[in-house]
Amino acid sequence: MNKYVVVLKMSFERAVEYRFRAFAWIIIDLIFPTILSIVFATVVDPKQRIFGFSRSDFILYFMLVGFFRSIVNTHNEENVNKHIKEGKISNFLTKPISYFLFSFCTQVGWNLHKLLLNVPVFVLWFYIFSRFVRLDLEFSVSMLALPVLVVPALLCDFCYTSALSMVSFWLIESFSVFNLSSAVVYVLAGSLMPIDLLPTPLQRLSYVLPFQHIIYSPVKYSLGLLAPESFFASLLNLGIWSCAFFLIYEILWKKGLKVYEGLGL
Amino acid sequence: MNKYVRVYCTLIANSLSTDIIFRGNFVGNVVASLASALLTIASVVLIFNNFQSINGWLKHEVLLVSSIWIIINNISIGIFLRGLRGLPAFILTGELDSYLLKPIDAQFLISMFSLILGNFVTAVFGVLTAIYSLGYLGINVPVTNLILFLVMTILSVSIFYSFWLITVSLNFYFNGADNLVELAPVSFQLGRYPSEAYKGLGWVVFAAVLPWALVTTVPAQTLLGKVNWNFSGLLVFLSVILAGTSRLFWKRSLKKYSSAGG
Repeated sequence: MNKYVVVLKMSFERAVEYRFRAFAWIIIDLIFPTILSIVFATVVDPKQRIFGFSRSDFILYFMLVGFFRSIVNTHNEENVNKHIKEGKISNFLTKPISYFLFSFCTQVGWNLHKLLLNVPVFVLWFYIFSRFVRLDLEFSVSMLALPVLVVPALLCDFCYTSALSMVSFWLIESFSVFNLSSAVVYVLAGSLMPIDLLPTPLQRLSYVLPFQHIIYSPVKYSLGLLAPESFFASLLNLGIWSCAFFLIYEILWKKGLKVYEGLGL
Repeated sequence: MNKYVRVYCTLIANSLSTDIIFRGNFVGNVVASLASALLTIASVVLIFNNFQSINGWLKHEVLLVSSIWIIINNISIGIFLRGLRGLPAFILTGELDSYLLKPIDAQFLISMFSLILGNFVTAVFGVLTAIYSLGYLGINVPVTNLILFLVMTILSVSIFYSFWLITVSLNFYFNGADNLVELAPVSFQLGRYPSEAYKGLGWVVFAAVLPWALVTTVPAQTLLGKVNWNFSGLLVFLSVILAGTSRLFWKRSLKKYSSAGG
């Protein structure tokens, strides 16, 4: 069996072993989208439309953002930081395996397990909010866009967190950098609010950067609120940024290994 | 009691020295927690750019609730996070032994182990935004209400801590669930908005989120001069019940500790 498939399988098995941990992450990821769904269910009039969003769209938006984030977000920076801090990168340098691909397969295994756990949570969530949500055929067809965009979105997010993680070579205690990055990405990806509600300069910035194409665009497209051209524009944006982040990662990885001491703390 | 005060003073002194030595980390903590506070304010501003009120609560009233959320959240994280975050690893590695053997209550020592001073800077930011909101609303808070507010804030921190201790103690039962330390702070986000914001979904859900929303809404009502004695009584009741429950749960959970390590 291909060694990377084995890594993926092992990661999945580990996730199953610590299923309570994975379940806790899902609950944690869903709390804020749930809060916003309840708040918008309270404040938006059923007949009102704001930037094309009806009350049902807002609720579905936050629900899908919670669901999609939990599948495509990777948090690879935390693992890499731990490996560098503890000197564990040395193990990978001596093995005939790519550290980048090893980390990617580990993340995919973990996220695959989260996807499976997410399904019943999603159904329950849907049941709770059913009286506020209106589904139509167009929505069901548009929903098919989500699985298509999962892989490029996950890949782009992974490349970004991998490039970001390289700061750990120079800054051992880099969690504050990661937290700051999470806060910025949170806004620019449309997780705080739909991008349409942000000020215009932020909207423009967000369109050029990849983050809105990782969360906001797939979710909005699945709600049937984006034109088909946007779907391909998102794919293109994700492809270009994935390559750019991978290049940054490669350059920093080579430079970082020169300052890496392999001592561990 | 004197012993506990002396130990806590030593722990505070240790935290100060750590932050002086690792200044970069301190600055990073301030920046990250300020960013989180700004997100809270931004979410309120973005909502009110499109809506007039949240079930009768106006923009600066909600901003006051969010500011109080920032204050309570950052005080609680500043005091308890570093200590409680270490607990899952202590259970897993058997390191908890060294805390249990010390001639001081282990719950106290673990919970108060180290302060994160950066969060207190953000709590001050919360105070400033609260003062701004009150100024905008033209409210002069009487001294009695201010004292009542301080009491409510302490009770709210106590509720937060009790729930946090219970969730982290679940690590005695579920191995590797170290992320449970995140559950209480994330759940506390329900307090970002006034309790009335959650009525839309019906009373079942409202009752479930009520304790969290009360934790910030009651102190805000006190500052706004709209003291709700029923809710204030409920807050006192909740803090006592949760403090007792968390202590019992901690004691019970310790019995599950095998000291085996891994």
